[in-house]
Amino acid sequence: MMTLLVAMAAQAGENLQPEILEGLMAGLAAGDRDSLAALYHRTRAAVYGLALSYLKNGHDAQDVTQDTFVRVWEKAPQYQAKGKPLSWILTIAKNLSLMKLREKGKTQDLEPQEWESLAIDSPAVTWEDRQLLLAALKQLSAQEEQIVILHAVTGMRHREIASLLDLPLPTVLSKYHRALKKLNASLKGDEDR
Amino acid sequence: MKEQELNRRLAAALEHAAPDDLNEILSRCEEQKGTVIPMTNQKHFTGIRRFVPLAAAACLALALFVGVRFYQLNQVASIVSLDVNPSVELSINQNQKVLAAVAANQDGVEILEGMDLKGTPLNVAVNAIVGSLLKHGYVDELANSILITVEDDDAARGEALEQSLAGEVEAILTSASVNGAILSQTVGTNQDLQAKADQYGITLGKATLIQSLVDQNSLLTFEELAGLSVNELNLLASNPQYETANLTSTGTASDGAYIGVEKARLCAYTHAGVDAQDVTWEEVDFDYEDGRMVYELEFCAAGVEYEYDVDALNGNVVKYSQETRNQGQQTQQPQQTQQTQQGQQTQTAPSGSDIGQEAAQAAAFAHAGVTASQAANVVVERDWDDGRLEYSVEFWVGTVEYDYEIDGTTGAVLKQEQQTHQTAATQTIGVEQAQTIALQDAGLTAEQVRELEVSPELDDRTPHYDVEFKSGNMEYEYKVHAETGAILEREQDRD
Repeated sequence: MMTLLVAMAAQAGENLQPEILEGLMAGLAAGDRDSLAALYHRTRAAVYGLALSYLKNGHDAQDVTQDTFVRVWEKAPQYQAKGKPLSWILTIAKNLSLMKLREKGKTQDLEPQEWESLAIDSPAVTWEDRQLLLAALKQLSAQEEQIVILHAVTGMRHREIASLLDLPLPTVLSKYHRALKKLNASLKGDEDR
Repeated sequence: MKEQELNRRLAAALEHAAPDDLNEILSRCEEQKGTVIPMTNQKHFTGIRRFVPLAAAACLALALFVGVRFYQLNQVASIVSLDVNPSVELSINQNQKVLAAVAANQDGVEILEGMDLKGTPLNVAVNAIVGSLLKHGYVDELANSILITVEDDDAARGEALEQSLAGEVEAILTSASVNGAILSQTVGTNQDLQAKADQYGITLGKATLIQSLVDQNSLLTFEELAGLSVNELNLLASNPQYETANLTSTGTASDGAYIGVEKARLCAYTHAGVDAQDVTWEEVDFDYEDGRMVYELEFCAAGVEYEYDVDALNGNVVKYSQETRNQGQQTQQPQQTQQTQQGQQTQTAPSGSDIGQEAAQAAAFAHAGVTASQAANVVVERDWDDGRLEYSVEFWVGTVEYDYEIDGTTGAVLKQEQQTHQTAATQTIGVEQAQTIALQDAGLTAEQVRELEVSPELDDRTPHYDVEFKSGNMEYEYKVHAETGAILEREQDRD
């Protein structure tokens, strides 16, 4: 299991290399749908994770993820290659998530108590995944969750996360370390039970 | 669970949880591609001409039903607002006749003075209002933007009217030899936003534009943008960082009231000690920073990436940062191998020796040319990022805020950023005082608690300290106001 996870993490890092994503963005700008498919498979977990951290609901996060990639397709010709394609995509996801929150009038964080209320329907989700996601969504503030998810799924540096979320670096660092502690404590509690 | 393992598990969980909707997305992109209509000015004018006879025909048909007509003619079908700095709202019926014209602010009163627009066709009223705006000097080469908003729950009707009005206003400005910039949008009823607009004395249209910018940049506030003119908002909206999908824009907002891109560039290059010939890449946009309009410049020269905010009115550098590109690349390239090593090492310290918080702080102070006694609100964080131990050092001296990243083993400055604010940082109570306040509230002494941790969150909208500790089988969490020492939140749970 551990070997598999290490392999997955390494693959995730390679998948999100800026050079590769820049190439795919160029393909999108030229109207290449295969590039869109490839970009989607590489970045969908990051986009979905970020949307989920804002919206705390799987269905809403799914909608925003779809809208994000449609928007990326539409805006790709205007994208200026600066070596940060993932930040550009995630900024779109962040903006769409905030708009969705406003539409729904959910200005306060929801506090999901049960797995069912999260509406995450994918059959691929294991029991371990459920425990971890529920802990992340229940125990962490929205910002802590965004920071942890972005670091875990994209391998983004804290400095880049600070820039994406418009937060000072020290805040990102302190929230990140505190979030890890909270997650660990929550998971340990589950195991002890 | 170790940090790396937790990260991997979280990544795997999200990979599993994220639905695979590629086919749906591809089909939506297909639809989009198939139905895109090029939005050019030519098309707008064609739309208006087609719309006018249709509207006239509809009027004739309605004339047969006098009773119904009486009702319909007095019913508000749409509200049209024109914003520059003066703001005016026109309520119109479905025949596009003005039922009421209202000034939404004091400048609007001046614009409508002496005009009785009730019962006039909308295009006549708009002509009169734009004429008055020009006459009173609100639209000129220094500030040339007009925002047209149609509030109508019938989106198709609203958009047709929006296009028609944009064409109308453009024609008026052209005939007055003003190179105008027109923003137009159609919005539905939005009671929450309307309440906010009323609170700040602006129209729903301007509030919609402001809200869209605020939603996309958490450093902006509705309150400060409400005081900006439409030309300033148009300059901000032209920054590619903002998505303005629902806004149609023609023309270019004037920056004639400001120092101009060339001067801003010169100020930044001079400050950075960079020769224009050495600049390999550059981007200049408008932004709003700390209560003022700024030119935001990003450029590269001799392997160093610079970011500058230059006050658009006087050319003062209000914020700048620089980062050596090679360092970034060097640390990014071996990331894959280092991650694996890091996974094995987990949280252990890097091979070089740790210079410690005090040395990191001293390195930052030395680089900034300040002494410890001058610095206020000092926050130092230690981090192990990208295979390198780093210290983040943040402090204020007077009105200048400094941010440093210091290499944790060599003390080298990896990144620096400094920003001049309008006012000095408010004096904070400090970590120890925050800790004392929380402990006193819990009725405990420092000796009675364990895992005591105080985190300054001074850049939050409400600057505060997070204080956490445990005692017995209880866990305590406090938020203490950084300036007043007031307890903002307290939480007590079983550990």
